[in-house]
Amino acid sequence: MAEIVDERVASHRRQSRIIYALLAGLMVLFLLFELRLPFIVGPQSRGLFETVEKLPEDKLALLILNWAPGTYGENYPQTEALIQHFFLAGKPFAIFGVDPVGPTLGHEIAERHAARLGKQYGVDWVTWGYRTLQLPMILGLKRDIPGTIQRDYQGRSLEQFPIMRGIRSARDLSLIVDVTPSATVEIWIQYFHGAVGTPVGYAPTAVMAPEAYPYLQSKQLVGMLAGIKGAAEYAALLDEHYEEELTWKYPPMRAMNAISIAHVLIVALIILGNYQYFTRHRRRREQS
Amino acid sequence: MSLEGVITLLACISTLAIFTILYKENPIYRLFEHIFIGLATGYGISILWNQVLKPNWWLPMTAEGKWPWIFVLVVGLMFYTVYIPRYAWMSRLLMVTLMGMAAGVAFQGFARLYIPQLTASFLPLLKPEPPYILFNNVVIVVTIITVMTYFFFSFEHRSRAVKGTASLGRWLLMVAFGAIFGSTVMARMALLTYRLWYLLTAWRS
Repeated sequence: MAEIVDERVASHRRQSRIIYALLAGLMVLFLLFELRLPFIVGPQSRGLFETVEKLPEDKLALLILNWAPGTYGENYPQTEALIQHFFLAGKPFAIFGVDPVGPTLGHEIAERHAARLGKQYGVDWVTWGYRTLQLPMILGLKRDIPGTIQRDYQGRSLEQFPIMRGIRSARDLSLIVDVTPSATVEIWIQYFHGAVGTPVGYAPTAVMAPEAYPYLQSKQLVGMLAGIKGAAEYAALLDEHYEEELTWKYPPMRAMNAISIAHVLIVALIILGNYQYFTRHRRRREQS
Repeated sequence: MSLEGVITLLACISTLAIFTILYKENPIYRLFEHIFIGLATGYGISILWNQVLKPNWWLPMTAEGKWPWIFVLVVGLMFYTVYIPRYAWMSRLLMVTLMGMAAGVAFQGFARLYIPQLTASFLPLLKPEPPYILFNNVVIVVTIITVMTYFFFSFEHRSRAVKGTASLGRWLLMVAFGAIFGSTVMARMALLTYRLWYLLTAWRS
């Protein structure tokens, strides 16, 4: 009996290795070669894109980056797409985070694109940096932004930056976008959208996206970029609306192609597995 | 080799070492897993001191003359009195305060989060504009009613109508779980895609 079980375990392990190899091989192939697969932009991504387009230029958009390298594959292209859009549309924004790594990574992206597009730190964008996620900080941010944040990521007083002129409270924020693999968006909905009506956008990992649909339906969120697919949709919208060349450290469209082929393989394997299960089941029934 | 090159090489070796678990459990994977945990813990402690405690507590207290901040340490240490039965009431004092605050905040948050969703679920089923919205509205309303029936435990589901409604609710829940699982698969694939992209392109820069 033990030998039969061992043989089954070994067989499953062999099958898994074949599947992993097949999956990796196909994904590498689709990452190396650029293909144009049919692509539809969903209303969630379009909603966020159109909101950014209509933002007033005398208010500040807040890009909250609560992600770390663990979700780089999804949150990095989302952040890069949003930052490029803010720059291209000429909307001032601040980078902020309640995760210590997110604002640093976002700042690096903003610096790279600012140099390319001729944007200036303190005028077109500013990095507030990291603050701990505590209720007094959230409430303070709502009522008194300069008093709560005080300094930028390098310890310089925020008062010296032209972009911060006239920015006092949450009412001076044009939009909040939370890029995150966690459910922190509920904080911004509760304390900013719910209390002062600040529009909130969400860029979660695909795992978190289904939980956010009720907020979209109730219009508590203006839009959402669901994982890498959301980033690819946003990239397509940017491509459609702007003549300037977009640059990507990790191109979301190409990543989406590789993921699409992985999905095709998974669906095919599920069908194959079910076919095998049912034929085996039928054979056993016939034998008995 | 430049420092940048060494970092890239280390990143690639670490990625491949972690991927070896896909073949089988092995000491290389374990070694890199432990290195990762150690690095993450050290990084967390460094961030906690350099970006939280030092600028917000230590420097104001020692360099800016805001000496009352010392009481924050005293209050924080009161949590540890939980280990001394005679003084355990001190820790309870803090916990009661925090629980009261959390309850108040949760109540306020609940209202702001869910009341708009409640009102948004009252959808028109007659002549909605544009007409294709009718399908969405019907799906939402039917799902709400059937799923709520499924979770209604105040009486036994004996009647055929209630049983059927609850059963439909369960099926709709299964569809939702399937969609969530599909999204999870996409998320995991996205993470794998990025690491593959990194291994393929890191050497170019």
